[in-house]
Amino acid sequence: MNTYTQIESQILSFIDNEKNGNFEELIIQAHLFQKENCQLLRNYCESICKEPRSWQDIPPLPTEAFKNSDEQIISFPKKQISSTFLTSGTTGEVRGSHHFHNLNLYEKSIHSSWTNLQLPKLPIICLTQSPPASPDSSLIHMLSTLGGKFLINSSGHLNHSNLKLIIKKNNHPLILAGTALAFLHLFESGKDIPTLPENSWVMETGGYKGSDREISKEDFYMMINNNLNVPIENIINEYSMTELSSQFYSIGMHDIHKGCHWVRTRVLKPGSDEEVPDEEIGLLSIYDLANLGSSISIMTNDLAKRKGDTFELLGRDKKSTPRGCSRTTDEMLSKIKYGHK
Amino acid sequence: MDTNKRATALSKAIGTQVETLLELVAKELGHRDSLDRFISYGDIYTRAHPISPILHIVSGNTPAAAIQTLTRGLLIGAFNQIKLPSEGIQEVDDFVEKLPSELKSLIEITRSRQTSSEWLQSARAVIVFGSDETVSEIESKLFPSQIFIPHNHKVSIAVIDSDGNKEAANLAALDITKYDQQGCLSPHDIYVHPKEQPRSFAAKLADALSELNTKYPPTGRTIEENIKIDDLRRSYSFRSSNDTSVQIWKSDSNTDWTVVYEEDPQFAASPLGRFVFVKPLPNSLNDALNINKEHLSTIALYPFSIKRAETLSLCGATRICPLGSSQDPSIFWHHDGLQTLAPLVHWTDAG
Repeated sequence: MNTYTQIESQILSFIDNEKNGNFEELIIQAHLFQKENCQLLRNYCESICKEPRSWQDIPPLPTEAFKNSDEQIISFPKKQISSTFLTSGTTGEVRGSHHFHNLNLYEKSIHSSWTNLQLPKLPIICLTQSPPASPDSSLIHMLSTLGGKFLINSSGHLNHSNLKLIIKKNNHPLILAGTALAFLHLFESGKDIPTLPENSWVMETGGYKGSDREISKEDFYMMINNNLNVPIENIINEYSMTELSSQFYSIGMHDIHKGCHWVRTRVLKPGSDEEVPDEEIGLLSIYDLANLGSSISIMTNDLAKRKGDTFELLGRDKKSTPRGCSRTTDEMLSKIKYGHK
Repeated sequence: MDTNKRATALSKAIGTQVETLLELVAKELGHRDSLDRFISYGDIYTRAHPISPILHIVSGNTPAAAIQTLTRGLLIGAFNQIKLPSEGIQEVDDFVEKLPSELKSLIEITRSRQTSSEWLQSARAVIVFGSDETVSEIESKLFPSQIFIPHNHKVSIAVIDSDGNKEAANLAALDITKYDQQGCLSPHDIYVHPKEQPRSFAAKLADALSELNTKYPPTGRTIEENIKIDDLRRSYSFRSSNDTSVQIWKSDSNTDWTVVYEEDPQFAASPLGRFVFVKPLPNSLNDALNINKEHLSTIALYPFSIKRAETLSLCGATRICPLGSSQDPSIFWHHDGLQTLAPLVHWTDAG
């Protein structure tokens, strides 16, 4: 069996050019390598499918697996962990850990996705903390890899004057990036929000994690448009997870999410490993060749509508938690809260 | 209509004895005629009047609770406004259809959020089935003079001390299957005495659920409910493949039913939808129930005895019932530990 470095080299070459390899062969090889070197993964995968014949047979690993503090999901010796990103979590919740042997594949995937998907090559200004202030955030590392400049200080405060200064000084198109929640905070700060230069873009990600905010994509994009003067067709949604190494992007209001040739997705029927028919809703599972150090197949908790070989992201439904007798009450409250604007 | 006539009409609609309903009035209000005339009360006389109108905000996943709360309001002679979920509740429509016109005239039904929001302002009593958060929010909309009866989120468990007749798994399966485990009364966790081999019990329960599922498969589950079940199933499948203290049984190719055996006795919350945990009964059940005591509703017990119920009552449950009857509370039950008719009347004294 090939070594980590040998397989990594093959995948890097494949990311560079699709003609340099075969997705199916590479992912089966990576999966066998991961099973060989990670007992947790081996035990789980073999309880479902001992010998996958195609990439679709590889069982997607639940994110719960990344929350084990005693044993890690790693395909290399523990002492060789060089970086770790943590999942976000509410107070008291166990956070998942995604460990890396190195960040070669991770960073290659970020750069190549941006190029392959023809995303705008503009300076990126980030409504986030910097990597030194938040070293365990995969999002911040991604933005840093793309050359982002960071506007939130280590105590969590947005530097408004710096934002205004950067925009005024440069006065050429840029990308303002951040979580959806960070944008909402910016819009609701009551402070003067500078209009972005013409032909600028916004990249939003991450939904409203850790808050009770819920706002439709339409309303949110209108807020961006009104506050920053960025047309809706210049708004990018980035979708990924801490447990992955690659990203998906959609542009504008009704776009599907696009990934690159080293990632594939399946939308599964709940309770089974069968894919839902086209245009139906199910659970999104992601196969990511850049995840060589952990698991190349991940089961998300996200709802998605299958669109051929890709998907339309619907996200998580906050109302999916067990509510006992609360169904009607929630309906009624939503009217009280949001029905009389 | 007097109480006797209302009880007679209601008894036909819900299939119970008139005497049972009159006895409920007597137990809650001191005398079966309390709502019709002055009755002796210490050294004075007193009579009850219904607090009216009552707004019932009910849930679609527990039709029995909706009918029960409406029955109580009608029994005392109040005017009842009921907010149904947008998809309606067929059982409530069927119930109302069986009533005489005099009782029908005491009911107003809506599925409209707008209408129920208006009713909320004018109701003299509001009975709500909902989560802690949403119940609190409705409470914040009320005036101090309005009677508020919340039935917020609760969880239930079962305790099996011994299973000499080998029927406990079938009874537990009934409790889990009925109403697809929705509401607050069906057990999330089943605690089995170690001498009854809890892991083997879990396997038997899986068989019983599978058998019931062929006759009564779940209907009307949302994609979100199925996804919650799928998510937890995959987490426990991962754990069971790496930890011999955990084992999972589940229906094939769908989310119909799931049994998880887990040696850790700490209470685990089910996503409902026939998803149940089986755990060894620990020496201190109190310690294992790490939920707030006010959230514990029912303990379904097998075999049932009042003596054993006395010890379990210390866990904070508001109801201890025989296994197999979790989802069918008696008309006499103190819903969430509260009287059911007494809070809905006010009194006039004489003498």
